[in-house]
Amino acid sequence: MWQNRFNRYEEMAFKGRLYCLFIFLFLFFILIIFRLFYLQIIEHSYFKLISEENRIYSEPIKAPRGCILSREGKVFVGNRMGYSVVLSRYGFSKKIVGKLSKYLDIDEEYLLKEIELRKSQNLADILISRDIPDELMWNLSENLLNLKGVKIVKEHIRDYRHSDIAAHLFGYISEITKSEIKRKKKAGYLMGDYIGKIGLEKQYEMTLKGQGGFREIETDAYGHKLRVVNEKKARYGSDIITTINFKLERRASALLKNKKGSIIVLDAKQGDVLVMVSSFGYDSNQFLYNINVEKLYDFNNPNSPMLNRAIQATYPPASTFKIVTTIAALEEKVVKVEDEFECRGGLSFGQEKRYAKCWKKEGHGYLNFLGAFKHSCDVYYYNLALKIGWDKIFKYAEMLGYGVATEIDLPYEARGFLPTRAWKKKKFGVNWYNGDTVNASIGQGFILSTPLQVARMLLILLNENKAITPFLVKGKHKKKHKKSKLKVATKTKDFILRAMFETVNDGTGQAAAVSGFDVCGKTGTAENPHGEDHAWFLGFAPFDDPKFIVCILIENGGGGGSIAAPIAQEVFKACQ
Amino acid sequence: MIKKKSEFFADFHDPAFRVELILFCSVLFILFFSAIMIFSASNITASYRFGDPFFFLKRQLIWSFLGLMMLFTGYFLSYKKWQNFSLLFMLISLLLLILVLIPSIGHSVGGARRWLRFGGVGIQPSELAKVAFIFYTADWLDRKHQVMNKNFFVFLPKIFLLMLTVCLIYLEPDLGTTVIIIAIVFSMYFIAGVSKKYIFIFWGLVLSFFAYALLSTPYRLKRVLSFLNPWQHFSDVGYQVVQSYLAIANASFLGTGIGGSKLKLLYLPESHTDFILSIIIEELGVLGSLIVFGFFLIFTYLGIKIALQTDNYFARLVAFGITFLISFQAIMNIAVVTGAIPTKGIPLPFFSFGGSSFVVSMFCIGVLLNIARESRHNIAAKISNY
Repeated sequence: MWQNRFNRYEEMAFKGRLYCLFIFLFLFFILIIFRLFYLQIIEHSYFKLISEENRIYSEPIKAPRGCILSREGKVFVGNRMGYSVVLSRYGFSKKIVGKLSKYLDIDEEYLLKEIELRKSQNLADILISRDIPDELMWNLSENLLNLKGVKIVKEHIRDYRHSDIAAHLFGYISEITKSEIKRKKKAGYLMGDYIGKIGLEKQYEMTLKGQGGFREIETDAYGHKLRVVNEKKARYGSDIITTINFKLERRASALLKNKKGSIIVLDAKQGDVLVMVSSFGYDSNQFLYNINVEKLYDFNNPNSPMLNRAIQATYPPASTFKIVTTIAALEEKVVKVEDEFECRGGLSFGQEKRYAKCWKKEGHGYLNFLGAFKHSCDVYYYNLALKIGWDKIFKYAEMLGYGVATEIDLPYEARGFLPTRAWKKKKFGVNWYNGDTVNASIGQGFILSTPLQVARMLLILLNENKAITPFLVKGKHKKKHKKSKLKVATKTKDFILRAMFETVNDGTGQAAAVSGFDVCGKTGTAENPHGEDHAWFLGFAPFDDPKFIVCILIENGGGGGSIAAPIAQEVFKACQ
Repeated sequence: MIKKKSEFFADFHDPAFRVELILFCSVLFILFFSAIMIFSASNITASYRFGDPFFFLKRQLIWSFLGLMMLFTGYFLSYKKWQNFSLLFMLISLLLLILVLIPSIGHSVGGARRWLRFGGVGIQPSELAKVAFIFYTADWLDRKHQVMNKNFFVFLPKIFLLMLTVCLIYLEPDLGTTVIIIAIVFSMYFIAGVSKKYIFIFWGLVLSFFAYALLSTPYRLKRVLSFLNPWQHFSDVGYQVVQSYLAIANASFLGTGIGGSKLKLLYLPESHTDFILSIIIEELGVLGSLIVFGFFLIFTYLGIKIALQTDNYFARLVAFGITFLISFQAIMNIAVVTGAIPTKGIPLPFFSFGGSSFVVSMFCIGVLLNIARESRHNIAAKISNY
């Protein structure tokens, strides 16, 4: 039935309102159609022009790192141009990866895994392979049409040309991790950037790295480059000139071939590090190609190649510590130079009648101080130690730099260790015995030091009231050079230097003698409960006007006089 | 009476049935057309964002299926049922609108909290609110038709409800839907013959509300002003509109052909949702515009026809409301894409990718078809009665 309210009048009024509203809507619609017509047809050419012109994208420019040079200006670590294969994140497909793996001769599954890792870096391009050989580069370039999304980019590749002679010194760079980016926000690192992880590369990262720039490029909608709109030039990293003497370094590393140990040569007056070799070494270049640097560390390798033995490994200083005991004895005037003690191959002392052996079983007989030093008689030093007491020896040991970091400009330096009475009480719950003093007086027991600390001892002794921080880069070393606090009587100093001269000419260190170059030195043989003894040699030359300080450590080498001294001789010959 | 099964086939011989048939077939055609265009517009974005170029197409096909289900639901269930449930619908959609504003429940994208998520499927309560308002307003006008112009105070609860809903949607924030809901309700009032005095009062209220909304938030004002000169705001708010201009301009007369769009290459954001029209025009040129505009013109014509055919006042208002909702949204979207009004975030009904809006639109078509069907049967019954 027609309902009541739908009378004819209302029906017409309703229709009227409805048409009114839709006519209104329709007019608006017509207006928009005109607008569309205007955009699409009339303004077509104008907009088309803009459409093809107005694309700007920003392209980062990487700054090449600064070089590391030897003191003569020879390039230790530089850069070279290399070609890398990258895959656009956008064009990524399994098919292309399959093809690439054939070209690059890499297992496809391994490649896919690597890509997954790289993908998390959120870069536009995924790195596939860095620094490919030229032949492969040409081969790939010819086939790029079949490899959609693959690009070959030119890059600065870090070039460790002399990694075999001084790897530990330079350290290495490798790709920055996410946590490192977070920690160093202000430095403006980007994903995929390189950062120094250890060695000089880490120490002087801010100097070496430079500052990346960018280029804003206008392209058309097809991606063709039109012009550079804005450019911020990259600031190249600054070079650093080290104090390393290239020839000496090379010679020293040759001497350490297939031996575990370290050779340090310091300039006796300035503290320049002329040579710092640690063996075994590694190839710094390998860290460029992998993300997971940790994977490369071979923790089980008994040779621990990643360890810089010159500053990171600690050993008992052994007989080289007798220099400290000698200074303490003479300065505290407990003994005169002429005083003699008898060596019967050992000494029993104290109420418990403990017995300490000399390295020479049959004993040295009666010796004066000079004789004891040059023959490295342990019994003589036991006697001295009992007279001086540990506290006084400790005082001089600390002044000579034991247990104190050298603050050389390299990261992760070990501090060594110099025991105190309190420490022993806390650690073992027993008092400091005379036996400990006796042991410590010849550099055994709890004392530990790095080869650099041992070398620095001589630096401190030779340079009273002068700067005594060894360093690798002149002028850049920010920390203030510490000055020696050691004050010893000229008589004492002369005696020690004389004794060291005698040691090489007529004592344990004869194997280090070089004719025409007055070598002075002290040998040491560190007893090692875990294996073969460590061989030490600490010396300087020439006698009258010290120029070079040499410190040799051969891990598990054997006797200092027989193993370390001949190597020292070779080093001094090269220095001469 | 004629039996049900044969009744269905008998329909084909009825000239009045053509209205339903044309409407249904054109919607079906648009379903396929939009699936193709969504794939064309979204495959680059999809493979860039999800590593799967078919990401949006797959979802659109699922939505199309669900949409067809909803269309048939609307078609085969009598609209009179919706009248009884209209208040319940209104309350449910209000509840959902409140839920979506609770931070732990509502899902926010790009600063706007508009979605409720159920196991990976996002639902936009404001889309439901649009339909709920159509049913509710139609029901109310149907019941109060006689008394409404005699006493202004019968409107007060209605105005309160409208303001509440509008504020909830505005808080999401979703200014576009706010505008649409207000427009629907007032146009329905206007059609139903509410006194012009009252309508002026309502407009006064609404305009002051919008003036406050614009002036209180600087980004809205900036957005509104940016449409006057999008080039000046190219780097931020004007960007989309400029990209849309470029897409339309790039089309010329014939377009670049399907798949030939340059602007979908990550230049134009939302290329498969709000700005799909730009891509349709870019790729198909004038033909694309004709398909889209033609569809909406046919739809509006048929909608008006259905609204005038029926003799049930509620059905008439619902049919009008649905027709107005879809055509008004379409016009708003086209206006945004051509830069005639500020950017709003209104999808193009049936063409844009987007679950809730699409399914709700399909349901609306179902209801419209049902109204046509029942009025046809009524007339047939009346004729047979004579």
